[in-house]
Amino acid sequence: MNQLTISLPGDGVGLELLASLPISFRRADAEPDVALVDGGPDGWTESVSDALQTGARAVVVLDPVITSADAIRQLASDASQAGKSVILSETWAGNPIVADVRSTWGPHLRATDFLEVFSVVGAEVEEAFFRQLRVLRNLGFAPPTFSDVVTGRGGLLGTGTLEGRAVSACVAVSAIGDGTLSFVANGPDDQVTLKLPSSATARPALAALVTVEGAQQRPTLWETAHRASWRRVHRMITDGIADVSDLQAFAEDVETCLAALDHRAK
Amino acid sequence: MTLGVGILGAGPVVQAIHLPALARLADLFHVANIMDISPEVAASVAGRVGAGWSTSMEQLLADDGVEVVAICSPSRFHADQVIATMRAGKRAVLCEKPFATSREEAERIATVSAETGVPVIVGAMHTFDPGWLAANGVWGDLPDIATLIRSRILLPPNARFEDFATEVVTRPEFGPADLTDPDARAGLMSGGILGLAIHDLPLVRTFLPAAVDVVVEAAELLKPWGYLVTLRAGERMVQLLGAVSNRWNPEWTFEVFGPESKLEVAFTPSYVQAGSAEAAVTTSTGRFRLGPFDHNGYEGEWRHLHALANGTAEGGPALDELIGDLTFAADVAEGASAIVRDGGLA
Repeated sequence: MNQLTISLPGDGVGLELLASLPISFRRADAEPDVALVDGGPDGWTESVSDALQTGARAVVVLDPVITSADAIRQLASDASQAGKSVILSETWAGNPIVADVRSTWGPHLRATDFLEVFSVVGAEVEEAFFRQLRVLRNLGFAPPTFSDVVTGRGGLLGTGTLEGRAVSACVAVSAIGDGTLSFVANGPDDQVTLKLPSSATARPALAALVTVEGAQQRPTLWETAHRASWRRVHRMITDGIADVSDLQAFAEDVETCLAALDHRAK
Repeated sequence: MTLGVGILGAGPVVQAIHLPALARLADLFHVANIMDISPEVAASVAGRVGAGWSTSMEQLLADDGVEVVAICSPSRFHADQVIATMRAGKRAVLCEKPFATSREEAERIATVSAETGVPVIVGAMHTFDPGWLAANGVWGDLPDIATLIRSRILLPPNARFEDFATEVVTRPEFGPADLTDPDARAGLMSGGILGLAIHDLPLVRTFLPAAVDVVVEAAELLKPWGYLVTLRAGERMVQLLGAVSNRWNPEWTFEVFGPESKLEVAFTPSYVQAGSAEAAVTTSTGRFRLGPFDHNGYEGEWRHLHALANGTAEGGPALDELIGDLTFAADVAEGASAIVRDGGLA
């Protein structure tokens, strides 16, 4: 296997991933093939630009937060022109079960007429709402249009539509949340449910499909979104693929989120 | 000595819910008389439990063997039938929800109940569910500090459960609604709130401050049938979700979130004798699981009615609480209907 070098942002971030992929990657903080960037602070796009300019062939961004859509699109354009990749490693949207369900149960997802996303968080309600939108995106849905968003001390309740479907987004604020996102796609005959855990552990997501014949589950994948993103970037570099499509979709979802929050009732 | 029950109405709810529940309580009740405007239906349903039958309320109330009355007729008849039952000197009344169609009707019931001393309970079965009642004992100050409440009811059509509960002889028929008609949309929303959400609206109200106005912020009709409604009561937010589809898996949950605690209740579907809800209260110190218990809220309400009739009841909602529940449900239905009247279907 082609071993790639990767730089880590410090404070121990990424060490557990390195331990789980020791043949694919080794740490090298100077001139790495891949740079791991913390997506938390506002302005993470600048950190990604810096990493690309200093020679990384690809950058993996850990849980990027809402930032300027224009800056994201500029970054996508720059990276694309340079033939480099930027991969977004998002706790919920990047859980490997999301892509698995999208490819395996896509027809069932498309046959539904009501979507629900729900999560309990300790704080950062708007970020949680945005991350719910990112899950919808990675399941293959277009951005929803929210007609009503209500926020308060208890969280957020959003009501919208998506290609003829109703959409409910709910974020509850409580210290007892375990970081799980629940997604339910309800159809007249079928239902797809997903429970996406936090990335604090490699606890597997749960995915189930209910049809008139019964119910089935997808096999458990003992892997966080972050480990899956490392494997993905390894494949892309090995295959000589450059990809910035994550950034383009992310920018569009930022705009959807901010538009919804702009006309909320407080 | 068991109490004689008279039942006004003999539709699927009576056939598939109340008669099976009463069959489990044979040490407390026997069915004395069943009334339906159709003599064939009345005779057929009464015949399966060896009861007499009537085709008018007056006939049933004149039956001295009837000591308590369950009112399971269409809701527009409820108030007058409750009042007539109390005036007839029966010992207690169980009225299906809603027990009146207006606040004025509800207050008339309260006045006559005070005059006659006949107790009335409303068939809000989840308020009598042992799982819910057990959770009430451990949720502490959650009603005072709740911030977000979710009522989520996703069900197959009733017939799926009715046919497991009994063999039903009549069912009402529903035609498709014209969703281009604003009144039809409003009617669907109102029907959703007063027909399905109403089961849990008294539970929602438990976690809302009494002195704060409730505002309907958003309402959406769901396909093929259902509602999605957002309420705000001061700082508290409420999501009401209900839908009926062809899926076989029922989901009937009620959740309340506080800053450092959470209540989750998973109810069993109506009709089937599947026992009580399972509840869990989570706090920073742990998770308390409650239930399941061996009977559901319907059986619970009949047990409570028996205790009321015998003067041994403890607890249970007072009539002014029931009026509050009714007014709350009517306000939510009215507000949500007004929104979808001007809107459409997702």
